[in-house]
Amino acid sequence: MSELRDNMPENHEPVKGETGNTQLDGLFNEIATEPLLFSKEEAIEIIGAVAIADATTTTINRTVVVGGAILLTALAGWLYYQFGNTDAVHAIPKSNTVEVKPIQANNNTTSTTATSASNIETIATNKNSSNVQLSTVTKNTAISIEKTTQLANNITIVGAKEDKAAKENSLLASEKIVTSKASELKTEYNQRKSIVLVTKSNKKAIGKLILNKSPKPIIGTLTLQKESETSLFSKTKVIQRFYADGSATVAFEYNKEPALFTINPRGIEELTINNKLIKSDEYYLYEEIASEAFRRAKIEPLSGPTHDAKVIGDIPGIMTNALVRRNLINADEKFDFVLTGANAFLNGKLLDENQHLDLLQVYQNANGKSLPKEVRFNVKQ
Amino acid sequence: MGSRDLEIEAERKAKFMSLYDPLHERLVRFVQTTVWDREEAQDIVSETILAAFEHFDKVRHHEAFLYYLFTIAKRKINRRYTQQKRLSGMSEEIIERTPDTSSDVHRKIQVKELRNAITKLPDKYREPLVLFEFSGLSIKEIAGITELSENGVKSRLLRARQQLSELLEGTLHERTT
Repeated sequence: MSELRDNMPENHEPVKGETGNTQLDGLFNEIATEPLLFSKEEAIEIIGAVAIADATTTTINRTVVVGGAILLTALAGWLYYQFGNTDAVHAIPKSNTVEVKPIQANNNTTSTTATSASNIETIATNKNSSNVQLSTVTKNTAISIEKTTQLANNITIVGAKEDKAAKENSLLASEKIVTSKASELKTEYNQRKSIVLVTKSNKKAIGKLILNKSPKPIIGTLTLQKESETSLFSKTKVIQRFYADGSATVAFEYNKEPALFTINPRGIEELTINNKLIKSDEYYLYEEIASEAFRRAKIEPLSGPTHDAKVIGDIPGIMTNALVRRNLINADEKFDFVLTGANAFLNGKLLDENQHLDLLQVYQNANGKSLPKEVRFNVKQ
Repeated sequence: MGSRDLEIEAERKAKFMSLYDPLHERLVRFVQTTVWDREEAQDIVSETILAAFEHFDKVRHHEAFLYYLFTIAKRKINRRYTQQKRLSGMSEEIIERTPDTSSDVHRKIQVKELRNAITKLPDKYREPLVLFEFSGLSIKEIAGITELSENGVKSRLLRARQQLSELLEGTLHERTT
């Protein structure tokens, strides 16, 4: 740091876009005015979706709690029903009347025989707090009442446990929903991802390959050999530039006009003849020069030299051709090929590591993306 | 969610957007210039927004929101880079799929080379450069985000520009036909 400070001109006040190099400034400006990859609307949508996810979670939480309560009630009812059918309870004839005579109140209080848990509890309470004369109730009745109380207590405990479980379930449910919503969001807003591992962290798979190292640009003059009298190639300067994404730019002189290709293994990214951008549906007209571009750049055109690189090619077909070219199968042979980030199998036989990596590279070139480790690519013919 | 909860949520959302809105372009430019892979860049922006929204109640002063937002983005980028480096051992793995806007093919090549060169800059130089040149942040703001002094930011900016010029020396003076 001190060295930096020492080397810094005094009163150096940087100004945006003014580096002192006009070409660099121009390029900076070019990048600074590129369209944004992410619009405000998308940001708003993300926030909106989060709010919806939260609302859904709350609703689900409440639904689970209410559902739990309903279940509890049903359970309590069922237990009571079970109890209500025991012999002890039958000791109190349903139609009979129980007379309760509290001490303090001299009045005779008449209570209908229990038909519900609450009524029974009332009787039990009265029994405990007062001298009760049960005129028609047998000795067993008291036992039945005690049992009812005990059962009611049990129900309360079970109920509490159920409630706790319901809460835990609701928490789990909410977590699941948050996770699934987050995954949905990421899938939705990362729609460009054709293969995405739907994980909470949305981490990309680790089966990625290192792309071929980009060699230094090769610039030189050479004479292209005319294959026929009709060939439009001429003595020209050939420029090749390679990029880290596996693409290359090759410049020719063709029909006495400058031709500039940007190619990658999937095909032509861009073609300009005499500074005129050629539409992709006219690429087929330039097959000869396109083949030469691929040959020069030492790039294998997986879907054909005039294929539009923006269009995903026939990947199973490409992989089949790759297997044929590598003499792993014959052209018309039936086979079963499985490729994952970890290994490759051909007809059930494990291919060695070099073959595996080579085929992974072919897949990556064809697809424009690496094959995630957990994803299995299968061609069966 | 009750109506009151919905109201609170709507207010929170509106508050977040009012803070986020003026910084949107700066944030996206920062991410898309640092991370050349479009998919990665979009991922990081969306993850940053989600993370910022989740915890933005903790930001006490509105002025601090810029630092809060860019620090999240910076961490997410660093994490992604560290992960990639750990997994592949190569930063060249970063795939370039940025949109081509220039009609001049040679210009495009130069822009592409500039992007490559920026990715080759050490983090400590790349970050201030991108924040200053492409996100349009002031030296003071960058100092806040990078936790450097303003002079430190200026030094790094100067060094970043110098290194970039050196890396692009061949490209900038060459005009191929």
